Amino acid sequence: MKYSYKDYKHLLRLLAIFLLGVGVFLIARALFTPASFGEFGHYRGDSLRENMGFAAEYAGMAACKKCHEAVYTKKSKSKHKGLSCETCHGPALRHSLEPKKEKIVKPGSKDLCHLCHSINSVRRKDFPQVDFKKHNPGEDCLACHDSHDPL
Amino acid sequence: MKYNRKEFLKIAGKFVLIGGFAKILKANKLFAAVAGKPVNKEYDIKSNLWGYGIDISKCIGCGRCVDACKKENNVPKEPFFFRTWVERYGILENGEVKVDSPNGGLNGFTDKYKDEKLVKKYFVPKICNHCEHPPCVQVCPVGATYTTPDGVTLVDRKYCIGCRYCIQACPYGARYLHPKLHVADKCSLCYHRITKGLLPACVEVCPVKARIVGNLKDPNSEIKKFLNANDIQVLKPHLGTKPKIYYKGMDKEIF
Amino acid sequence: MDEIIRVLFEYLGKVQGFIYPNEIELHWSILIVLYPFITGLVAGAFILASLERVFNVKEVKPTYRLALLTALAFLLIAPMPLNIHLGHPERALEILFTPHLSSAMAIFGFVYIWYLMVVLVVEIWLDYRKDIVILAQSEKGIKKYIYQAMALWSYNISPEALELDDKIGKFVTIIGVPSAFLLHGYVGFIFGSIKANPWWSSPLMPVIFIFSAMVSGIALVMLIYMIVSWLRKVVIDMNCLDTIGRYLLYAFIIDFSLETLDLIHRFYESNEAFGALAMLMSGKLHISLLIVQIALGTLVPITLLSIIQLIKVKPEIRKPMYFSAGMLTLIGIFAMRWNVVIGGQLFSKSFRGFTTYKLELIGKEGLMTAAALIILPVIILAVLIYLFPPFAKETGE
Repeated sequence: MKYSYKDYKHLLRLLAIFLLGVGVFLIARALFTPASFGEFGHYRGDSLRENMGFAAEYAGMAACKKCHEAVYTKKSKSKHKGLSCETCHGPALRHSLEPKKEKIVKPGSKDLCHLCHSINSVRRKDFPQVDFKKHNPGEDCLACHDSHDPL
Repeated sequence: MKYNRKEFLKIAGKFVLIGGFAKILKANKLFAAVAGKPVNKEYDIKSNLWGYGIDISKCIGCGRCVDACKKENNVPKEPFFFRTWVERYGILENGEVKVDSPNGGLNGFTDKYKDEKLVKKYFVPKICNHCEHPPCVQVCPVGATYTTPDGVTLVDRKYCIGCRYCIQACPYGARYLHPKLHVADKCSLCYHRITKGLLPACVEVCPVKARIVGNLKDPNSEIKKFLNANDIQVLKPHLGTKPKIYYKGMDKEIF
Repeated sequence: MDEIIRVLFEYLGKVQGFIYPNEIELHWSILIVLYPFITGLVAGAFILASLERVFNVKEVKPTYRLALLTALAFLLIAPMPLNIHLGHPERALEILFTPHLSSAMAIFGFVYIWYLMVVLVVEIWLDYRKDIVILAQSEKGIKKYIYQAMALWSYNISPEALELDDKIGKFVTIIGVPSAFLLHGYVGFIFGSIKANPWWSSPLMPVIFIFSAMVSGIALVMLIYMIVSWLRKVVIDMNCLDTIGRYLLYAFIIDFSLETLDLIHRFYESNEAFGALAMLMSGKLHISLLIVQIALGTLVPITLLSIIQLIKVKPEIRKPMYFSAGMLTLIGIFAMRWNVVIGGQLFSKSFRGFTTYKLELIGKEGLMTAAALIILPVIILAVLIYLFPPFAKETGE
């Protein structure tokens, strides 16, 4: 052995500092890695549950039917049978939970009808389209058409 | 005293309301999950694999899906943040392709091309493709975006560091940085809804059934029937991301 | 929030063609341009230092320590632009605690710590240990304690101990060369591995990044050597400067050949994205790519350096030639980083249109922040030079 302890004492000290650093890192990693990490894969398992638990806004048609059966039945026999109530009325989950407190939107025809039924050269031809400038301009669509049973 | 009585009535009223709902909850599982506990314990993650179909030939470009998505998922209303959007394509006689998506289609579309002669035209809804090999998940440095066992790509809002590498890696422009939360955000296929038996908001409100969703592991599901009955294409198949958003009626100009 | 929305509405009016609606926001700003620029300087400066130590190029010895200190000063700042840019900087350590190993970015923390601690700090410490011990014994007051701590309270500078230091130092430098390649090669891989982005996606990207890093680092140390010599009013070692200039030219020729190859390949393949990329090159990147990066930042310095090789030029003229070649090189490499990072985000992944990027003067990701991040390493370097004079050896000889 060419070198004695005193020749590499400083190197051992440096090594000790590095090992200390690695140790601190390993302890910090153990402390700060979330408990559910790796439950399903390389992510927090809790995140999956959080994503499941986000609050909804739309109730779904089944919820509407519970109280508004008559309108529902009428609509399901009409040309608008494919539409969900919330397509026009907007999100209704809060309303379905607290019907008195949370009111839903009663949409005016000006806002909605044209979105689907205005003439658009890109829209498919077999879909009913109306020229809103010529077809009784200024009139409320709902004056003649019942949106729950149009035509 | 008067106040107390009022308070009592209020609480009692709530109690009755909850009691009443409890009955409905038992009767209707879908509803139970929404009104009751935030996580549906009965959902079996292993027996599901979510797939989503878009029928381009049906879409009329009303933009209700975009609107519903923003309301359901608290997506910022400004025209730079979309979990879903609708593109309009018009192909002229000389082969020129016109594409636009004003405000993501949220306000519908004006009849911009009424004076043009379009030989082909279609509206194309877009969402996150929930790829089988998602490049966004591959590049996330910390594991803040991931694919669930039932095939949905999600973001962990509490863990995302906001480096935006996933946004760069997504070939479809499906991701954005949430301007308030400062984390990546994207379509979750309404994971909080589909795991409770509800439809994603966009599917719920689509008036022409251009969007369908279902379990790919169930041979009788609507999505499986859709895949079997139609010629199906996915977006940018050459990239090998294997999207689980399946398009019917897709033209070569769409990517 | 309102500020970003205001900027985005401004961008909205400048969108050309069709882009996906989420693509209006350009996500990686000038800070992410700085990041590969700074790490490139680090890697390049280290390679220059290793020329002397590993490859036995004795002529560049006067710059050996200067190059190491330069690498250290810039490496200390390298993660700052990244951290400032994060949406949640307070979560940055997740990248070390739960690194997602399929992500090129996740490896950053480890490559960085390896390079900073194991390579640079150890190499500099071993090289300076004799000086530190002498200073620890000769200095007074607080400085004495600082040097004592730096010596780890071990003051043995016997010939045996120093010989051992030198052996280990050489070993560390040998590890350091591939580490420097790794440090910058992986930065190139961060971009080169993104298949969604045809402007980035290229297996040549890591190699181009390594050679452009060498070019920028060598140019930087050359400039610093000239400026420091001028400030100290000492004669520049022309033999050293000529050698550095020669190696700069070699690295530059390889770098430019690779970049040209990449460009030719893109033109020849003309894949689906080529139309958009060609429009990008001739349009939005016209000035920063064709004029600044290629003409001013590459062809001019290569010409200047070649002239010195081909014909005899007087030292009084060679100096300004080297100086201007070095400055233009740095500007050119910065433009190259800009064109990669910003250029790669200007076109839509639908290949049908372009968004825009406006560099703000102030703000978190503005020009002022960027300027501060470039000046900061220079200040750190000045402090390092003060604490560890890199010139002790030459004056002693």
